[in-house]
Amino acid sequence: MNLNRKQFMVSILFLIPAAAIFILFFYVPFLQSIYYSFTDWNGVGKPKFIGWANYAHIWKDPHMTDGLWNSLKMAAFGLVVQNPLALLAAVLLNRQFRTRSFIRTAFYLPVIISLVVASVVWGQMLQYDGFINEVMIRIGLESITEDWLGNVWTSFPAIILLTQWQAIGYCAIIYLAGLQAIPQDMYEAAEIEGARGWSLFRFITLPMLMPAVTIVLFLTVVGSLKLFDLPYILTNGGPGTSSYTLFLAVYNAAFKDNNYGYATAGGIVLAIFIVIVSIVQLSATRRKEVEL
Amino acid sequence: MKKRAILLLAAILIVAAALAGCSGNSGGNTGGNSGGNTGETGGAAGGDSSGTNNAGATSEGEGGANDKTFTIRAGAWFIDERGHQVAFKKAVEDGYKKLYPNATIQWDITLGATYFDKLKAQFASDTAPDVTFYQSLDYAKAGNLMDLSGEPWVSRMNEAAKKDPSLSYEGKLYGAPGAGNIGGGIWYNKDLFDKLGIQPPKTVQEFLDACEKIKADGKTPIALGFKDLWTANMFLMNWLQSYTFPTDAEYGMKLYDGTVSFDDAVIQKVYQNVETMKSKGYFNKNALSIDWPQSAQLFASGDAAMIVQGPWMPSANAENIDKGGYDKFQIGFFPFMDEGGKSSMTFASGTGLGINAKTKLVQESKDLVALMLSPEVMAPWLEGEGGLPMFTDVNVKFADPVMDTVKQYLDGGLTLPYGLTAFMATSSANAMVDVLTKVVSGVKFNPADLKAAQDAMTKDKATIVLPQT
Repeated sequence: MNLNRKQFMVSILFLIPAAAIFILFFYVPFLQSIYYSFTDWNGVGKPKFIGWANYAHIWKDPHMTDGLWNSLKMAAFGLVVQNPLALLAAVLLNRQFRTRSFIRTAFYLPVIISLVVASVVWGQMLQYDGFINEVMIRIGLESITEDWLGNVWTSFPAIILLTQWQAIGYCAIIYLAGLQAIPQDMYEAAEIEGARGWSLFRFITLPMLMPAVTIVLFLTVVGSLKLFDLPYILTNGGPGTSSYTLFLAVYNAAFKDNNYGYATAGGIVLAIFIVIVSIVQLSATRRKEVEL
Repeated sequence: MKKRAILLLAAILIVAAALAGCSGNSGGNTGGNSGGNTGETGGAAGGDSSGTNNAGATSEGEGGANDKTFTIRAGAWFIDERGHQVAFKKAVEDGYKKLYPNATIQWDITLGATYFDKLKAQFASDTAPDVTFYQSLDYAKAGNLMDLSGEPWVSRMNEAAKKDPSLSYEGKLYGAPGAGNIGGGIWYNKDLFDKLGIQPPKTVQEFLDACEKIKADGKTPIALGFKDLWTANMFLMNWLQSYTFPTDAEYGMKLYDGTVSFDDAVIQKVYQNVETMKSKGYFNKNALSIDWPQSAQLFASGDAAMIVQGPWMPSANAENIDKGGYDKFQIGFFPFMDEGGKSSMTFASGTGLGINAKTKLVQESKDLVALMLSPEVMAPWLEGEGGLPMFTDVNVKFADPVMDTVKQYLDGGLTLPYGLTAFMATSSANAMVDVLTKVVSGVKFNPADLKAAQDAMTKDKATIVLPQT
């Protein structure tokens, strides 16, 4: 046995414990869940094999279809609104001004608050007799007061806005780190060449920031598709199915409808969906990354 | 030397991982036995429930059968810190000490619906409590519960208990009845009704007229707390009960076998009633964003005249009035009705007390169940729960006269041991509730929305355990 082979064997031996645990607690349950997704199973007793019925039902079930639609709306909002706002905030926070540290802290502060706690507080504020409506009454806008979370037209938009409260600060910090990693001499060189304002941003900042953009877009899209806590605590998907997300639909299929086989099928579809979207998004943004 | 040490370390890691994996995998299957040794101390000390199941199965039995030391586990989702629940636990523990002086009861309590998720996992891993309250006959169907048909207390069960569909499966009795509960109904502020000259309505039109009068008086006619979706389910299913069974005793079966669809005109009628009530402003404006305790506060404060709730409402209301410092009022009750004045109520325990089929403490578990069902333990508990007795020798005296009204409705009308939900898949019932919340939010009722309930029924029909009456 030569030295390379021996080293290889040793490394295999070291890998075995972790691999065993990973196989036992990750791959085996994953393979089992694929089987369960083809069964009618309420969590009690034996699962009954029903072929593709669970997968076919996903496209008829308004919890899943509305959940998917809402998740996509959320992702689109993240890309189109949240992402540019976070970048703008980061660019502003990267400038020199007197209260910079305070503003940076203020932007990031919502991120450290538990989402569950935030949900409960926002839920109280958005109630019909809550803080938001009280303020609106005081400023003469009583006619447009609403039970914001108890209305099919406002419940999900309210949830989207609440996610921004945390997400913008979080993404802005990532962008800020990216901005600070751009060498100052590049700006100086560009300025000597006559670049100013928008040109600097377009030809220096943005290309150099692409790794951060990749990360932020990935987190935004995956976070949107995985959104669960806020709708679960604030509306549980209601009224009707208006504020369902795909993840909440999967959860409720299991724990509200006692439909574990169907929920597993939903979970697998969700996982595949996230993988596809992530691959598309990563390949699109990575192509635009530049290296020094 | 160095290589040997590395190889040795790797081998140790492999063995450790394999052992960890094996113990994790087999823990469920052998939990009863492996937990036995630690259960004597850990269980008695109230340690984690999962590892101490059937602790007594391998107990170091000393002396006679009743002197042995063991820990028995009892599970429930509703035994909280309310006075009558604490008294129930104490009465059971004291009574069991007399039977088994060295036994310890370990209460496996998880409040709310999460208990059922836990119970499923516990049955699947053979770590379920020896004695447990349950709500679904799925456990009996799956062989998780012991056949209790031959137990002495069976002869004490009253007629309502004998018909209770949550207890029997394929001719065998798998659970003892808990509190006899009405499925729900409309509780009202009797003082306010008297002041406005309103009699308990008998038809839908009278009901709507009553709402109009109450609204004109500046009060909210009905307090809803639909953030708790079970209250929305209760509201809908109780109203459907009065619209369906009095006219057609087989309505449930017809819904089950597909003769009647979920967008049937009768079902639509209930949704249309709700739509009318919403459009006329008969519900509180925050109906979908407050939970049931908040809606109960609205009722207790006198701001709302009616509330749809279960049998616990009189005691809960009295407590809310005391705590909130509100003006006291007499509470009244009437069931939902249809346009012609027909109504139907459900009466069943809805909760069974069963024994784990795999318990090693068979006789001990049976004795514990018998003790819980004894008149001296059951009667005070029922009083606190607002439940009616399901045993012939258990007598309960209710402080609130409204319970006499409830009994009159139960005795004088069409009282069934099951509701419409017994004939539909859980997913269908939930889909119907979704439509209800949509209507309560102000969306115009669209019968096409009920297709989701029909689709869910088609898919999940096999999960239904029909009432065995």
